[in-house]
Amino acid sequence: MPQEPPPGALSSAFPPPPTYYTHFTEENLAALKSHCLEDGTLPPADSLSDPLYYLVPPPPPDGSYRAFGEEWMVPERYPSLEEAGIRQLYPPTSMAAAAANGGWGGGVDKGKELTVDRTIELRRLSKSLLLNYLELVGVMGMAPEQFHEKTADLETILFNMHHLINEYRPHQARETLCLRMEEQLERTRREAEENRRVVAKVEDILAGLERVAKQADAICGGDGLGTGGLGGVVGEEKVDDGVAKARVRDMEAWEALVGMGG
Amino acid sequence: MADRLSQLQDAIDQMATQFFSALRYIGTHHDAVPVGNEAKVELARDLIFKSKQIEFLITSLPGIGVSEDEQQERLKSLETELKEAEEERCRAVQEREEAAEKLDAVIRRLRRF
Repeated sequence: MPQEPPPGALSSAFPPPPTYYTHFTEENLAALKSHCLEDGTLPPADSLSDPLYYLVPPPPPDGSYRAFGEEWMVPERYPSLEEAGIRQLYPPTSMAAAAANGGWGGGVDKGKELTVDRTIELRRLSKSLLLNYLELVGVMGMAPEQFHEKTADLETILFNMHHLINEYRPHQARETLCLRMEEQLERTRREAEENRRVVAKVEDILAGLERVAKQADAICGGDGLGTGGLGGVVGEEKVDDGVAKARVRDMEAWEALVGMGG
Repeated sequence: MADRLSQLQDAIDQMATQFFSALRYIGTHHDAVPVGNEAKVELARDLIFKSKQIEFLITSLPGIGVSEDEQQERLKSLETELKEAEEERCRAVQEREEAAEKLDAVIRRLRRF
């Protein structure tokens, strides 16, 4: 019953959406609801007529599936070198063994051995890469027509190195995630601390204002605001007058502050 | 900058290119006379240098000697810590907002005089 996909749907870099999305209309959805089983689950797709058939999600694929022109394995795993037809030069890693057992992280401490193994193997491979190149240069000096064997060896070594590195990627991804989370933790904590600091500062200032208010109270109460008459010159008198007025204003403000319990 | 693994792979690819270009240089720049020692020494030095770089990258791969289970453990504990820190942060922000409100109220009252 599934329709033929339009040309380009499977191979183009940006394929169009699958055509069956056009069947998700209000009427069809309502019709599907009426077909639902008693426990509310969807009926098997085979029992439905044509347009409704497409509304039921297909069962998850097993084995492998194709997406963006490539074959993907279920469960996802990196195909081994042997599967790609290349000789594996390093001893089978425990990750490969774990994958063979059906899934990642089969063993307790396998990852640890794995990473240590891996660096040793990679070093070994890089040494033999140089050595093989030396041999290739030697061969080129003596019998240039026999280069095939050595270049094939070099190629195998390069493939092996790349494969080892690629197998390492999930491990690195987790490691990177750890680092990012640590950074975020650090950032969050710093922000909380910064907020607390600001709060403390604000409270400090408010408490300070309260103290100043009390002091102002004491000073003004003692002075009786009698500063206005002290100045001999007219100009000074005016300034003093202004100061006195400002002080009265301030005092009232302080009182308001104290009243708030700031 | 690319991650370590990509750097390593790039370095390996560059190494392969150097293999090729070194041979090609020796093969094409000789005018029927062997290439001088100087050039060869330089080519060899470049190759060794690249090889050392690869080795350095190998030893500095992230997370060596850490097993997957340890990583999972760490991720889990980090997640709980993150949640706690986030709650703490929210509380702190709340406190700050309250303080700001208090300050705001004080300032508003001041204006009236």
